[in-house]
Amino acid sequence: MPGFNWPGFNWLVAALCIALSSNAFSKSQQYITWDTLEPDTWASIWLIKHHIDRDASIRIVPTGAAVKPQDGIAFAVFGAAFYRSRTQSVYEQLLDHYQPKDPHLLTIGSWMHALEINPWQATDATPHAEHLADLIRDLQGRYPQHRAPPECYADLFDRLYRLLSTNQSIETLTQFDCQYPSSLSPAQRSASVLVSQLPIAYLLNLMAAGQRIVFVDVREPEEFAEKHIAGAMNLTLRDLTPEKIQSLKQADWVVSYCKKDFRGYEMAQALAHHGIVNSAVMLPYGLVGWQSLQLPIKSPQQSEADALQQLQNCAQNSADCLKAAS
Amino acid sequence: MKDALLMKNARMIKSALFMQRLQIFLVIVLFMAWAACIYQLPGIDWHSIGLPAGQNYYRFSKFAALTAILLMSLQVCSGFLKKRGHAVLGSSVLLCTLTHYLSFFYAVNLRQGHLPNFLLWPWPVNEYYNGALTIGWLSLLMLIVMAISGACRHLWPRIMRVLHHTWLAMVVGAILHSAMIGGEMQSLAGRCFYLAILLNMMLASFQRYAKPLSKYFPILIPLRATSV
Repeated sequence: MPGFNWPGFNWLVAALCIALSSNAFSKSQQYITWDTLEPDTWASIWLIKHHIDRDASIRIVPTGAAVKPQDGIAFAVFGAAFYRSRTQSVYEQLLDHYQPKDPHLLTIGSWMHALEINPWQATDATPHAEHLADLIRDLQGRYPQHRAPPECYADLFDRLYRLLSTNQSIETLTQFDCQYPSSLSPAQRSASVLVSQLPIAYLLNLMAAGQRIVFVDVREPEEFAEKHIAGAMNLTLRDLTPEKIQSLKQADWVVSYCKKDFRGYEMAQALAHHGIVNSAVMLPYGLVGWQSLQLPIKSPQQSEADALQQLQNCAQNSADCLKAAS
Repeated sequence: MKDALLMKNARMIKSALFMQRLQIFLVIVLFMAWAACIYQLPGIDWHSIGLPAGQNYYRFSKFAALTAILLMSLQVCSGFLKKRGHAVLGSSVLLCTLTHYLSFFYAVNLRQGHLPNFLLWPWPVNEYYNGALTIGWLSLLMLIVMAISGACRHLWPRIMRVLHHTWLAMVVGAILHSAMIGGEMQSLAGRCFYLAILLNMMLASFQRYAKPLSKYFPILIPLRATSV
């Protein structure tokens, strides 16, 4: 190039070409689902990865997260094209759409239908579906908080598929031993760093059902002293220690909050990264959202025990409590 | 011997190289302080899936705030040392502070789904948080007044000079706002950041006033070359 002698130019052009080409060729289709991972969703993930598009990447986002069409193909997400209806499971909808020729996939589809859509009406598929449900329950029961590694589900469906292919009954598979360690697999780790966004009404129902919900107030101690959700612990991001993380691991859900959940979300994400799988923020966000529903708040004039009792009463009658607010 | 050592230390602290190193340290600690108050740095995907609305704008707002504080300290130093670039630095402070305010405003707007009116005119209504917001907001107003007084200093020199000298209240307000709800100040990196800023400003004031004081305290030797 006359008049242009910068020696780094060729390297720059080469680097740009490599960057552009790698980006162009590595573009695989992304499928997105919520982290309410039911058997139908696991079966759908297996179907996509093993029989529809082997190069597809699956992204698991928190329940309630908005998924835009440009993000990828959403399934088992409210409002998506592939979402469980009264007549079809997500797995069956995927089968209908992609039309794979394999009859064994249709058989598994009939199990999913019996399990998810028609559990009260006995069909030919019912015994197999119940056996599959037992296998999944057994698998989940062997992992803390029912978080079995995703590879285990993939292995389970592969084993079932092989049994079908060799004309064997799936009842011969009485116990499924997953070879993957109980520590978080990479896929699960990526899923676990995500933070759930739970509606407050749902949280109240969980509290009423006896689940241990720990509220973590991420605001400054001065703000905490003014008002907070009864029973909440005050913990800022800078004070997060391994001991405190360990103490939170006993909870069924750890709900971080601040005024509008900017700081709360950072904390929830930090907790998820430190192995707290049920880390969440609430909807509507933060103490502002909590107060907008006129739910009880612990004020300086009130004792913690009284405020907690008030919150428990509200949780027991959450419908009335929330109705009164609206 | 002891006096010679003290003189050597005083010279080292006042040297231009020391100031440069301190300012490089400040930039590094700025990023560390930012990382201490947010858990994950914003990704390239500005509207990441699953992220609550406005979260990335909030993170960006934090960064703009810390940058504004850093530039503000350099601006104070340039004022003390009567250096060139005072106007450019001042404009940068204003730009960063407005970016901080507007990105936080937009983040809250996205999060709530409606305009956050309380950010347009915050008032301390029996709440620690609102008090902190009000202090920050008043500092922003003072900063705007200061920018105007700096730009229009030829119109009414005496009035503008007095207005421009409210910088101390503005800096105190900004740091107080940051200390109250910034969150980063209690972290180690945050404390290092604010201490380095104070040290930077103290050194600059020291260099400004060392010469008049040196006749009373011989150890205070004014600098020949400084940098900001």
